Amino acid sequence: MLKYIGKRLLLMIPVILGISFILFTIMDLTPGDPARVILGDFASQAEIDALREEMGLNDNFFVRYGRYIGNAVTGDLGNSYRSSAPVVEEIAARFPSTLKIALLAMLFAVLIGIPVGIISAVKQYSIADISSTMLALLFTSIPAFWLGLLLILLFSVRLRLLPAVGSDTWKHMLMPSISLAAAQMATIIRMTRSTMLEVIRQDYIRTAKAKGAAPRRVIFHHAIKNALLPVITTVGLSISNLLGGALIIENVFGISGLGTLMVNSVKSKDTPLLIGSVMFAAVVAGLVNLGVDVLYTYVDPRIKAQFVKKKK
Amino acid sequence: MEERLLTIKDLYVEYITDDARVFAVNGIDLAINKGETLGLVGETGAGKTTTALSIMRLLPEKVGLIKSGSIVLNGKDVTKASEADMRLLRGETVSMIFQDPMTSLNPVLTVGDQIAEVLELHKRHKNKADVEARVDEILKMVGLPPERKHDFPHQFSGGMKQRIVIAIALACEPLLLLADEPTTALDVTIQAQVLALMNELKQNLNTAMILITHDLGVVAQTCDRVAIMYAGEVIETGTVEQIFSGDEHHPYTVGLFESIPDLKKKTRRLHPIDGLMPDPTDLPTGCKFHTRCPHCMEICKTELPKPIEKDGHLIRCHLLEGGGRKAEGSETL
Ligand SMILES: Nc1ncnc2c1ncn2[C@@H]1O[C@H](COP(=O)(O)OP(=O)(O)OP(=O)(O)O)[C@@H](O)[C@H]1O
Ligand code: SF4
Ligand SMILES: [Mg+2]
Repeated sequence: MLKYIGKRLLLMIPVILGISFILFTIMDLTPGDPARVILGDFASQAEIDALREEMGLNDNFFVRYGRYIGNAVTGDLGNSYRSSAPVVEEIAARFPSTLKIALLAMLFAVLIGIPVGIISAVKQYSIADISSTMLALLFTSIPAFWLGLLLILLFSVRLRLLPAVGSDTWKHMLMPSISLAAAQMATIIRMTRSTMLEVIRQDYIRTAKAKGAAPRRVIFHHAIKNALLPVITTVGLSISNLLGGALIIENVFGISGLGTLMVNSVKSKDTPLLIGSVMFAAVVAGLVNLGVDVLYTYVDPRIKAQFVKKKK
Repeated sequence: MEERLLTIKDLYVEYITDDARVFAVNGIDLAINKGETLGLVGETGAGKTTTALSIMRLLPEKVGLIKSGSIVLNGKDVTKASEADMRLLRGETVSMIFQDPMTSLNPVLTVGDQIAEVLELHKRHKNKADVEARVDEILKMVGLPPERKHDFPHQFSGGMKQRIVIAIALACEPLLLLADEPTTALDVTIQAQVLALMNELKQNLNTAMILITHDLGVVAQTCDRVAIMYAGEVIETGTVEQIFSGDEHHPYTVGLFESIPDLKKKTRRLHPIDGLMPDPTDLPTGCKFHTRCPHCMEICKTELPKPIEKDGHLIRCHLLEGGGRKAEGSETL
């Protein structure tokens, strides 16, 4: 198992290198001079040239990229051009808000999605099933940012119940995470429903009934664990989606998180900040997916068996 | 006089789906005494599984319906029992082994847990230790080392899985075992082993069994009596001797035996019955076999033949009417 985790971690390295290389190239090709960004519009050409020399901006592209990666390995992602604070600190200050929204959204999506999906399947074609299926369809088709705007209109502008902008209290977190959760919740509902429907038609469910197990026991003891296997994958994938979505929704609700940080760094051509935050997001997504896969092996004995050697 | 365990009278079962109404079982009568083995034989779609599921009352919900008739198991009418009563019967009084051992076990539970479950559901033992001891005992009984109870189904071969399924079915020593083609999914050498095991266990526990199979050789070896089904009806039933060597038979039985090479000396050539099973959503009138019967007469097309009995050997065919046999069961038709 450890060997597997190690292998997966190693595999993340080329991915992150690739991402950083592409971003580095793009930022290098786009117009705009970092030295000017740092010194502002009123600096003289001589000052700018001096700074370029000092920052090594006149070096060959590959030399600069190599230097960047060399520093990154030691944990130094450079300083922001704009604020001149270390990029690592900037990320550390902003990431918790993003994480909070994403996790809260995850919680909503899972805690509502899975039970609703199960009820939907067990009571197939009932009113509850039909309405939840319709709702799920609706939520998958609505983009998160639009739902966010609708929520702001309703709860902030009309009812004046929740604050529209900011990230200070849990009340601020509510609308962003709900708008973010909606689409994932819909996916989880549909996934849970369909796998559950498949599972309850399996022979081993009939075997359980043939033993004299009551319907509730059949569902909770025999069906759910089997049905949740594919759902875990969906949830895992949706964590990455949620993180990505959080970056967008932050901009709708004016939350200072990783997403607003990225957007601002693009606007201001703050190369170290942009590459640093994107690489960070990529690492987080990779670790989350790895975590989900590891979890999977603990739920499914068939997969676990591939990793755990027989102890006899 | 042997003690009667199961009596099925005039049972009708239908499947009602969105686009069709399937007449799966059409007025069958069956009876089994304690400890007896009945072979249930017939082509695919004849209604064998449906009959077994009706006894368990495990027909697919909302789709499979018992329309009429009675199934009296150990003094209790299954068709009228409450769902709670049925749960007490299932696994305890009557157990079922399904056709495919590969899919009959829950992949995420250890086999030990799956055997223990049936014991716990029927409160067979006072504490966990006793349950575990019984699980070990049952595993040994079906020829598996008890240590393997901690393993999951995917760690066993097909034959071993079927042994586990048998262990689950027999854990509570039921009075009746319904075995739905228990060996069809296994390869030939394993088939014989599993059958021998089932036979031995049912002798030891004095369990009655309905053995559903396509294999007439298996029937000859293991069964006391045989019922032959065609299009949801039992068209011939009798002891193994009566079916295998009696001089009078239903034309379908004759065809069935002729389709097995080497079993009857007269015809060694494989001789499948011409034609197909009738469409169960649109069954023919009269004798359901008349579309394929080589002896079909005018009356066969319109009138359902009554079962004619002689020494417990029942045949449902117009050819035998007026012969040495007396008409029987006419009130149920
Ligand atoms: N769930 C169902 N819905 C609709 N029709 C069904 C269903 N299950 C079985 N049937 C139909 O009922 C009839 C009897 O089926 P059954 O499974 O009892 O046959 P069988 O004798 O067990 O056949 P086999 O030897 O193939 O197992 C068939 O025509 C079959 O198509
Ligand atoms: S009743 Fe008629 S059609 Fe049916 S089996 Fe007998 S002879 Fe054939
Ligand atoms: Mg069948």
